[in-house]
Amino acid sequence: MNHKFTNEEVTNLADKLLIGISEEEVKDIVEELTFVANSMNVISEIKEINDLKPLTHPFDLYETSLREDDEYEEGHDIEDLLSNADFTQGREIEVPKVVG
Amino acid sequence: MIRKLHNKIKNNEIISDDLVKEAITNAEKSQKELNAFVTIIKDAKRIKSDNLLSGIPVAIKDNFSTKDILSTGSSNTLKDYIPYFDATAIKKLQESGAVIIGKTAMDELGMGGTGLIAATGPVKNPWNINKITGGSSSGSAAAVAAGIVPYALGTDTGDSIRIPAAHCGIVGYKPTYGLVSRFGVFAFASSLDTVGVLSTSVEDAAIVIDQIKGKDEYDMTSWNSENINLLNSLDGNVKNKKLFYIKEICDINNYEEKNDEVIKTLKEFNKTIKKCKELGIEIEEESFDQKLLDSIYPTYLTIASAEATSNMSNLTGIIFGPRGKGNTIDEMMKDHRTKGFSSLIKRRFVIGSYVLQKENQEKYLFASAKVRHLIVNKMNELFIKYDGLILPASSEPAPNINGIRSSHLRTEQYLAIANFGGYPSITIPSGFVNDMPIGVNITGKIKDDANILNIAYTIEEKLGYKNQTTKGWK
Repeated sequence: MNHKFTNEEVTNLADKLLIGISEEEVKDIVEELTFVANSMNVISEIKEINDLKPLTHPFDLYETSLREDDEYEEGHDIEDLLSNADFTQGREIEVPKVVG
Repeated sequence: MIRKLHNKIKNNEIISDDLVKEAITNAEKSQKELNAFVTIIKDAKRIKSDNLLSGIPVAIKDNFSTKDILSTGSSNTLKDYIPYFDATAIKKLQESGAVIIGKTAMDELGMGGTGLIAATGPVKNPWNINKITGGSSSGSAAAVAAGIVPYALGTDTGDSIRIPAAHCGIVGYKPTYGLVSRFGVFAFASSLDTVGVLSTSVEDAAIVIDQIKGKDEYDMTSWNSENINLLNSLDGNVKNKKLFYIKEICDINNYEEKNDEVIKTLKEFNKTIKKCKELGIEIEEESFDQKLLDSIYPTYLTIASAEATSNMSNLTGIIFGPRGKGNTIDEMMKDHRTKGFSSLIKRRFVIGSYVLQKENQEKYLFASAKVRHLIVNKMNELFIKYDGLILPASSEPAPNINGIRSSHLRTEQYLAIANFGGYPSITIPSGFVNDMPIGVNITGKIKDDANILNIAYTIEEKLGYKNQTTKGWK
């Protein structure tokens, strides 16, 4: 039996993401989530996947090495880092007070 | 095209400044009808060098960070964002002397495959402005197809270079995952995202990727490719090369909608196969479990949405992007995200969030990642026997802008196989159906880009659509 998605469930999920959605958007999301859920039922019938591990990257051939301790990189200029923020104060980003 | 332009500049037959000026003028003129650009850079500058790309104009998809140049990802959440650094691929292009004349519109943040979901409005197909370009590298494809620039950079997470290339009658090359650094590219789905190029010939695609590839200390998934020279690998020799196609994708009986365009596209594909055989390429048919093929789209949607939800949680409007209204930080972020994202992005995020919930991970995310594993295992087995997979890049030419339906978006996801396995994959133009271009796609094993490009190069010569543009827009 498929899970039946409700408007409330979808609105709650969007709320967790700090996204407001319209009634029309809720309807579309319910439809697409239902499609995904139905597709997963088809996928569960593919027996060969039971013995496989989830593949999270295309291939595992990454060459990484630890840098030497004496190597370092110059930091970024604070002006650069703040240049795209709408509200700043000195070297900081201005936000409403969050602690009492 | 690039080599020709390079030689003309070198022999003083044309002046680079004139070439750049012409590209900027054409970009501006095209805007009203094509809407391919987010930003046109009127004072584009360059460093002179002997490089093949020196002095030649290029357009860049708007999800690459370009220092001091607006980079929006075609999203209202980044509508004023000006990076203070260049993406590695941009840095390498600039070192070559390439001249960036504009940033191109895309489906918002790389999600979507139509070219209709950009903050600056729909991008139109230069072959027929009532048709979509495909996406998400929509503006890049339109700009190249209209002959405004000889090449443009794009990114490909599911088919975002290779579908617009097919719909616009040009070449679209997605290299092996990690051949080009992703540093400075707005992350969408990190395990699938690939930087690539749209051009009018395979040779041009090779020249561009040769310039921007390489290991980058800022991207741990990039790898050393010093032993690969794509341009030098194009020798036109395809003796003993073997390709396969997937029977179920090429059989009209498997299509729910057997319309005139699908029938003609598949017929054209069969003609292409015949021509490939005439070149001496061996081509065989392989069968895939239909259930596995039907799983490609939901698998892609689940993985890509989950990764996107996580990657794009930094779009808050607090440290960059327009600040939302509200009395608390949460209210400000919600206002920013609610107003800034299109409906499609919201849909993807909610799906991503749902499959990432602890209680849903096994059934959705891990099951999809296992399907991905199964498909990659099957492809790797086939790549022992074959050099590559050949498929119609799309089962029909570009649909009408007003004719887009959700089922269209669901059936066209076979090319995501290449993103699942990180495989090199290239679309080249292969003909026309009802006056609109179509393409053929070739996908090969990882790090075998030189071989795949040489096969595509040889087929391109035979098919005769090299350097094809609309020479304006219709």
